[in-house]
Amino acid sequence: MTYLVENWPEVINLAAEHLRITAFAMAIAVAIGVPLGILIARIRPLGPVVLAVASIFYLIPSLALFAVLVPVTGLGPQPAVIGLVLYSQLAIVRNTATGLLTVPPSLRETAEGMGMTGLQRLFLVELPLALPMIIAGIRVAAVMSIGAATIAAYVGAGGLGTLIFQGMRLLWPEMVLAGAIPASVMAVAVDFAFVLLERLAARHQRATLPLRRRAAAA
Amino acid sequence: MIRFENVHKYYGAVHAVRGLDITVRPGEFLVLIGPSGCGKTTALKMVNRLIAPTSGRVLIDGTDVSEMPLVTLRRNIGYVIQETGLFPHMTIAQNVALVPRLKKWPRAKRNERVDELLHLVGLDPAVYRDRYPRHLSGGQRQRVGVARALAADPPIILMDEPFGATDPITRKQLQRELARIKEQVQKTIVFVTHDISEAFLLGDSICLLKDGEVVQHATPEELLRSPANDFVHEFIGDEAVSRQFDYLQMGEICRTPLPTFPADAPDWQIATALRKAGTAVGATIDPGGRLTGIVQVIPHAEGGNRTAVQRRPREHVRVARRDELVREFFPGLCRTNRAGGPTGGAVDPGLVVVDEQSRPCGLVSYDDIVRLIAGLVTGTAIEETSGADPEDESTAAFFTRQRVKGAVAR
Amino acid sequence: MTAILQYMWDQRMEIWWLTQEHLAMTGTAVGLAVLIAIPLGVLAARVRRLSFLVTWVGSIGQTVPSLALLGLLMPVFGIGTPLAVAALTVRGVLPVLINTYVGIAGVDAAVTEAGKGMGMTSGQRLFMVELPLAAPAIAAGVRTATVHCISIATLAAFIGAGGLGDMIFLGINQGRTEQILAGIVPAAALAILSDLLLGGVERFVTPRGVRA
Repeated sequence: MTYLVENWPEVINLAAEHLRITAFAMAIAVAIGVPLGILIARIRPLGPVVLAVASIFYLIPSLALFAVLVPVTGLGPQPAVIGLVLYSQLAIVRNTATGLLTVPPSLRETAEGMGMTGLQRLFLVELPLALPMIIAGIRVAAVMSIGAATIAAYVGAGGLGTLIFQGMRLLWPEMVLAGAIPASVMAVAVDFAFVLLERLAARHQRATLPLRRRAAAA
Repeated sequence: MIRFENVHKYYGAVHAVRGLDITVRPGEFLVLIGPSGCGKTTALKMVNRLIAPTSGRVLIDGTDVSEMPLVTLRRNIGYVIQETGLFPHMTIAQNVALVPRLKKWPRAKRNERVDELLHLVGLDPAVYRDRYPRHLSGGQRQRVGVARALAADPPIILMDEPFGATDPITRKQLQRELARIKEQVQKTIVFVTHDISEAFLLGDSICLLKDGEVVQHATPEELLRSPANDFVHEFIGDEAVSRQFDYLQMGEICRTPLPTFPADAPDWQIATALRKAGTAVGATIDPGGRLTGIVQVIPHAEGGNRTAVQRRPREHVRVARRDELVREFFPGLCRTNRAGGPTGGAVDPGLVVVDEQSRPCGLVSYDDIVRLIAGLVTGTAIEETSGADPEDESTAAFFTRQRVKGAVAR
Repeated sequence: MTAILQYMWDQRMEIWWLTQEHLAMTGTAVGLAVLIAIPLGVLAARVRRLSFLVTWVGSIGQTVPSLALLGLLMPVFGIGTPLAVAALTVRGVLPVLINTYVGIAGVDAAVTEAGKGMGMTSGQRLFMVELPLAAPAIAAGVRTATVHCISIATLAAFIGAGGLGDMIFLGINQGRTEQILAGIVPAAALAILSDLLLGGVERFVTPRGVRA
């Protein structure tokens, strides 16, 4: 722990950098993933195609995903951000679509019966009801991204992974832990924060949510 | 034989079962009934030790179940539950054959048994053997549940609201089937339900529970005839049964034939005729065919071999017109007493039903009432009587036929 | 493009060797993980106090970044293949453990009660009812574990344990695109193929009676 104690300003800087890259990537990932999810919920036949492509990005080892981008973008934060966005798509797209598709049909019919247009239905009824599930998707993506971002240090993205790689190269466990422990704490904390957010979004629909989870699982 | 000896069960501070003392004779069909939370399911599950009593003992053939090896105990008790609990990954045949398999029966014997049992519960083995539970309807699944419980031929079967989750039509069908199966297999059965009509149809005895205590444990007849208190009376007279009386007329339920005699016929003639007809009650009529009173054979009067004939004038006989509604007579009918009655001594014959011209049509006895309730719940009573018209046949023949059918339905 | 293919062809023996190393590492880890996780999952489903532990440790454990996991275990296992296998095993245990627990705990209560009521012993219930019904969930856990392990095993090269990561790291260091791809293509193919294969296994172990 001595390394961590003696070099805490450096660790804090790296942690901030780590968080910045992840947050930036997540913002882009949500901006792409949620509309894609809405799209495949509306145009059902697109679903399998979009999800298959997304799962290929998810399945490719993250180191490989970053590395394959290096020849195109060069080293630095760009391959990291692009990689994280691609890596996150499966969780976000799938949860958005599932959240929308499991809105109880009775509510959708009620909305139609009230004369809502398609867009009004989407924004006033379906998205609010799908929100907890969408947040759950972002949560999974965010936690994975914090993890993958440590690996992105190898392609020059910076962040806490820098300390881990450096420490391993120097065979200096102290330095490795100075990166590994804050990274783990960050992942657990972000996970927890999203759990709270998910609960907050679901506070009005305790009754329907478990049913829909079950429907989504089946 | 199953015995509950002063059985108590506490769930924390909740006293769920309070000093249960019940005996179930071998071959008896006992129904445990009562409102939800009365402890009936808890009591049932104490028999196969899914629940342990806090104090008291449950005995099977004199042995405390808590002293029997758990697995042996349960393999010798069939168990049917409301949700069926069929194993979804096993075929119907595998489900039914499970306990025999656990008991290491040879394969051929198991297969034979599966076919036999599927036949018994009314499922064609050729069709259903290799299907999976999810391919079956709720009613069919429950049939398989019953077959599975019977598989290893256990002497005792426990059934926990087995038909509670089925729709009313399926339920009636299953109840009728179970009544038939019960006659065929001769098992000691403990059956939990909250459906009073089901209890009347199936039970040899009915044990009514409330707040963990026995309110009354009696035969269906006794329960109807002498309810222990208002709770029993209310529970029995509960909507499930009485609602069905709403449109039923007295003429539709009288099942006991009532031979008629001229008012001046001598006793010996009446006694002989009644014995020939196989009944103990007859009616006397005036030349216009109108009811003047009833005559009743009293066997072994005054302790001797002599048979006496007792006559009651019309004023002392309860009479109903055949187009009057059963509903209006029901409370009185339920309280009909075998001993006692308006004149004392003799058996209360029941209620005489007459037509619009006051001519006697037949008798409604308490046996008829019990049969009626049983029949009503299976939907047989109304079917059987509605089509027939007594004017077309001789009265006695008509009633005899009805009675035979009634007996079958019961 | 031809340059890349040419390079891969030239290096085919090397790629083949690294693939074997990669698979051996992943296979050992997943095997160990299954051996550890299934009994633990069964135990957790049986003992209620443990179930709490499993869900909490499980969900926190899964959030720890894989590279951080390698780092956290480094003081214990040093550098080299043992560290790689240990980290992969820990990663592999969690999904299998959680799925085993959820699979068994998720068996319909009525089915469990029927089994008890029929006089099945605890072992008979486990092997004849609970494990067959939980098999699809367990297989799904093994599938997740395998895909994750294949992915993380690429990092093993960095700690001297070999595997396809060797090619990737070297390629990045030397800026040689064809070398990077020679590592990536087989690694990605392994991940996708094992996902498909284990997806098939998952369907295969799903009892016919519960298939949709």
